[in-house]
Amino acid sequence: MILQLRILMRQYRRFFEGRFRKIHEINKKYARPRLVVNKSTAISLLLLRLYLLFLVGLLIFKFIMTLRGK
Amino acid sequence: MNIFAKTFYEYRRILKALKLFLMISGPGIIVMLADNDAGGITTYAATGSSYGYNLIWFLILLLPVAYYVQEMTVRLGAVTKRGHAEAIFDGFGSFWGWFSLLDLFLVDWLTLVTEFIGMTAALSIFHIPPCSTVIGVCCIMGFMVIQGRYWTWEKIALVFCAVNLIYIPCAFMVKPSVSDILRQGIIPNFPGGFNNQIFFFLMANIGTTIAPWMVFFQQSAVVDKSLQEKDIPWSRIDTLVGSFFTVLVAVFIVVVTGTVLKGQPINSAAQASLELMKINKHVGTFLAIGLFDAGFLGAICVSLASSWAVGEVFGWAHSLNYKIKEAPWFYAIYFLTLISAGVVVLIPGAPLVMITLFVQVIAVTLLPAALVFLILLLNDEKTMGKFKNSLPQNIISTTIVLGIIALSTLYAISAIFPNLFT
Repeated sequence: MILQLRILMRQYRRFFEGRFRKIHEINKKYARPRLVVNKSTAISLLLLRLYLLFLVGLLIFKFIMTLRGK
Repeated sequence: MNIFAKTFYEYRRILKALKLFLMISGPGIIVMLADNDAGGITTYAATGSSYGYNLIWFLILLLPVAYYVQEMTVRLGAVTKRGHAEAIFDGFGSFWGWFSLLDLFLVDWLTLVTEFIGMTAALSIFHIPPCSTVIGVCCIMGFMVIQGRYWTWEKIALVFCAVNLIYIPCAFMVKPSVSDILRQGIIPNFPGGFNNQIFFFLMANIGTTIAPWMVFFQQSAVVDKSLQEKDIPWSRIDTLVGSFFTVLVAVFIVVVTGTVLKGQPINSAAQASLELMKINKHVGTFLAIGLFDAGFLGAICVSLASSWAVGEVFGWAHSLNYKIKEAPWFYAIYFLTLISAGVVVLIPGAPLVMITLFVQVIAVTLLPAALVFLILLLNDEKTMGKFKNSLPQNIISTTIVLGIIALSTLYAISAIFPNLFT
């Protein structure tokens, strides 16, 4: 049990040491989207970005209104 | 061939088909019944108490909606052998990948907190302290996964799914008028006209029917179960059966509260259980048991959806078929999200109402992205081959997705600005 715990702890330590390296590896691996971006895909992604910006804008607006006490 | 031989052949054929279905079924039924989670039960109970049987038709309409969305995850998972998070990274690059993964993790964790709120509230009715509920739930969920077998987990989860059907006898016990249900509930109608309140209820019911974690969960479950392309027809039936039961349970909850609690303001399913106990002790007790089960089902699926997604992206071993020492990170994330969400519920004065509202808002930031990516990935002929979306499938799924996005966005806006629709 203690030995298993030690092995687990060592694995966790190793993970935290290499966490940034792993994220960098993931970014590198998926740097280029595999899906061919045709017109409809590009429009969908653009609309998605605009939609998310709209939601973020709403949340910021709500946050400012809450701070002002309205 | 004589008649006996023909009958025997048919019997063997049906038996074989049934056996095959029982082997392949699971992810669809589990995800759909887990969709009726603690928040969902509250929504249905409030719908029944506010409008009686009048909105049953809308719940029935949600059956094809849920089926079409989840069926796409089955095809994508079976063909690509990848979970949704990994598929987004691969198909759309790291920006959308990280966005989806981090958003999913946050939504899942917040949803898990709401499941614990439901479970502790349900067991408080039986005088079980929240601390014991949280510890008990964590232990049972730990036991379910440490077996190191997907099959064991799935069969235990299916038992909890069966408990979710407890609302069906509940409805019979309150002796509703079948003619009233058919007259008021089947034909589309808006009692009191199409006003802001009814619009809020429609949005809430849509919001509980399709949640982002469901897309990620079912696709990962299909991959973990090692389902192949040839299994897609059976998985479709599995998803259809699940959709049928999720709507059936929702309708029966509406029937219970619509019969007994019509006109009473209901804020939570636990409150509905207490009110019902005053009228019929057994029905109230069943409702409370059902609420706990709903929260539990939701919790087991939501926590797994996160663990699978993170494991896929980071390339760690991420399967229920591995033991803890073989997939330490997969299980570490599973237990970390589970225990931390449980602890939050136990903190005195924790902003639980704000968390419940926040879930709706954050879920809406992820849901459109997850659904749009789903449709785009299913149109990739290179990967999907003959399983890519056909034109009719694209028309139906795009219409459904646009409808869900519009209604869930309005639901989130109503959560941010509660006075906007009143």
